Amino acid sequence: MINRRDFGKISLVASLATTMGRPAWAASAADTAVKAAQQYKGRTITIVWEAGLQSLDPTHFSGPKWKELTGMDVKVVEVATAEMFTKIMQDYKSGAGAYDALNVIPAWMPDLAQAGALEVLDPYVEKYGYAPELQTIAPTYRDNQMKVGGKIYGFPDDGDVFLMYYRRDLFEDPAVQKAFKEKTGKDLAVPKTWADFDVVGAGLTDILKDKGIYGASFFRQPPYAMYMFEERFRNEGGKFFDADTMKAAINSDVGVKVFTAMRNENNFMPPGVEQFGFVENLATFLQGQSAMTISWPPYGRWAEGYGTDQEALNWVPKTTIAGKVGYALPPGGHPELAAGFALSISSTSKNKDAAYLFIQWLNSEDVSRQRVQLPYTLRDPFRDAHYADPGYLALWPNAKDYLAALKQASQTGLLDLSLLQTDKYEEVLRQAISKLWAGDDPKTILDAAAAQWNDITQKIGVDKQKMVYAAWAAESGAYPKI
Amino acid sequence: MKGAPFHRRKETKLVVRYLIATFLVVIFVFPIYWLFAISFKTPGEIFAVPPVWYPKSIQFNNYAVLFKDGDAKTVGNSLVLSSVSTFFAMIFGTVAAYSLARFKTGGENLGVWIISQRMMPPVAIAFPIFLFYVWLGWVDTYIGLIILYTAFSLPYVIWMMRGYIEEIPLELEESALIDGCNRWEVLWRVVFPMARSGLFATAVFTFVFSWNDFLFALVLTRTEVTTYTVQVTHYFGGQSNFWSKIAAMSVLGTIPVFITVATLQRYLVRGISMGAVKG
Repeated sequence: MINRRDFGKISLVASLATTMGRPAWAASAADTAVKAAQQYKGRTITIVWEAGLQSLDPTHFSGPKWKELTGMDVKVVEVATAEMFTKIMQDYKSGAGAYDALNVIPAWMPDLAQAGALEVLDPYVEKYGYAPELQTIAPTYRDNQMKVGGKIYGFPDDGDVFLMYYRRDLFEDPAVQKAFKEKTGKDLAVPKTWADFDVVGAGLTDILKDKGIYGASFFRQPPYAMYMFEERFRNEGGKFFDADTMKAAINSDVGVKVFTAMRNENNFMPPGVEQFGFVENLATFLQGQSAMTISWPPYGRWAEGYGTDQEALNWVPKTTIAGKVGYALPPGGHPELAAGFALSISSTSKNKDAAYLFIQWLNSEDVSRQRVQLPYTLRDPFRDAHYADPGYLALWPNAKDYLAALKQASQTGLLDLSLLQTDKYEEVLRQAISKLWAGDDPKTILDAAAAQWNDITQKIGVDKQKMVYAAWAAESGAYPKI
Repeated sequence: MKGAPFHRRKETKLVVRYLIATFLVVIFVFPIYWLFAISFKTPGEIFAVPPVWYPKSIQFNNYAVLFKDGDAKTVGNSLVLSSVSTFFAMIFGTVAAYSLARFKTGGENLGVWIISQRMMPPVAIAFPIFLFYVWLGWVDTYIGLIILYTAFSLPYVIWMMRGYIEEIPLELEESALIDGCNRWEVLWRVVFPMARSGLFATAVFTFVFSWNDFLFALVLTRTEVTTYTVQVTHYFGGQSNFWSKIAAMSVLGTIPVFITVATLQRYLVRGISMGAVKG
């Protein structure tokens, strides 16, 4: 298992590899940012960061390193995810200018940009020569999480995407394969469609339940299940709205089919799965009690025990499945990008250039390569170079499979729904999922949800929202390309 | 012979009562026990299925981390904010209450008007206050929150203390005045000692109101005076829930209130009863 010293060595090797791979005449974006930022020595920049593990990046790694390189202090305002949007808007509306740089969930970008809370970054990108390195951000993130109305408002900085994690040892166990074949008449394989998933999940539960293993477990709490619905709905061919009328279409046959299937699948998952959040589901998987799950990238690392000996991760249950995990795209093949973070600048900042240079440096190839390998934070690979990084590939025996799956996901991922007042639409979905777990009829729930969506659209203005939706739907990651 | 069955019936009733009482105590105490238990558990024990009912060994690591990372400072912030604001609210509130009780300042209805301020939903004024504080430069400062908590506690203190002061016989104050005391001395030597139970009871509740505040602390702090209630929310992340830290921090946040209430319980019961009689 890797310790902090080993990590330092890996980072050094990675940095050297990057430097050596660059033409001698070209200064890296990180170097450019550092050199330009040295004129701001003694200044403090304030950055909003998600509280918890995420903020260990600026407090333990990047903040101190930036100070060492430029003499600038970084003050980190830790905010719970649920409060981040409000805090950012509150600061902007009051004109307080307390924040210089921001972590922004990309789905919020249209709202924040239209309100005027975010600084347009194009002039800075040009001024500090960052354009070439922006192009090496993986396509899904670069094309979907950076711009609003053709202007750059944030640098995609976190490769959040759902992957399927499965127990390779069980799928390759001849006894399990035989029992599955006898039971279902099919060969046991990692499911590529949701129909296959239902067969495999139910079959494995029947075969393995006596050993305390269920075919699958998912996080089902509404804030998480909402993303899973968004992903699956689109993979099955659903559209959120009728693009001409802006009438909600989540209550279509596809929506009802997905909702119904989601509830039925709970029957072959562990008891109480409806209440599973990120951590409960993680514990179930790491303790070897489920054969398949879908989640964000940290599951894959922690299942292998990477970094879980660190104090910051002492809350992660000890893995019992290291070396037994396989990685794949979720059924349908187009995983949800599910939140993620982009780095932005507050339009009311009094230190815009200094703050910009900090986020360019953070986001640059050299520095981001190190940050995504920090065992104790949650930044996931998001650049082409991250997936091929020799240091990362060597972190655990099958890290190459993990990175290969992430790379695949980075090419086919689906963007979160992002409109004006997105959270209002999402809240309706969250409530709908609560009702689904409570046992209400899927069609009735979705009809009501669609009606609420239509009300929200009416209040915002159909034409106004239609434009935003059209722009979103035109993004490469909005709907799967058939 | 007739007495025995009656005696047995009485005993049975008593046993049933004790059983019900024990059941209720278990119901009410269990969440607190569980909170404490989690704070001493290892991660493996926290997520164990079936649940581990008590930690196998008492380990203080979950607490040590809070002190090492500086998170425990937020309990100190809460302590400072709540204590200082309670102190000022009690001083100003009691003086105001005395004025209302003895001089009928503002007429009969001023007291009702003052307490009606408590009925305003705090969220309705959170943002205007934030804007005002931005202008004053008081966001994320001790002075900002102390003034706010004091202001918010004043109606409650005034209302409660007015009731307690009205209970004190006027003759005692008149005697003190005749003996040469001025009004401030009457307050200090007669009113405060006579209303001691009410003062403590009111102070405890005022302290607890400020201690438990989440909304204003969330809106008006950033990094410097973050309170423990806000700090606890930092442990819930999209991809992480630090149950051990949540439990340990919640225990740390419970202890000062627990100590305050336990220490002043004698006055608290008497003070509440006095208030109850007064209505």
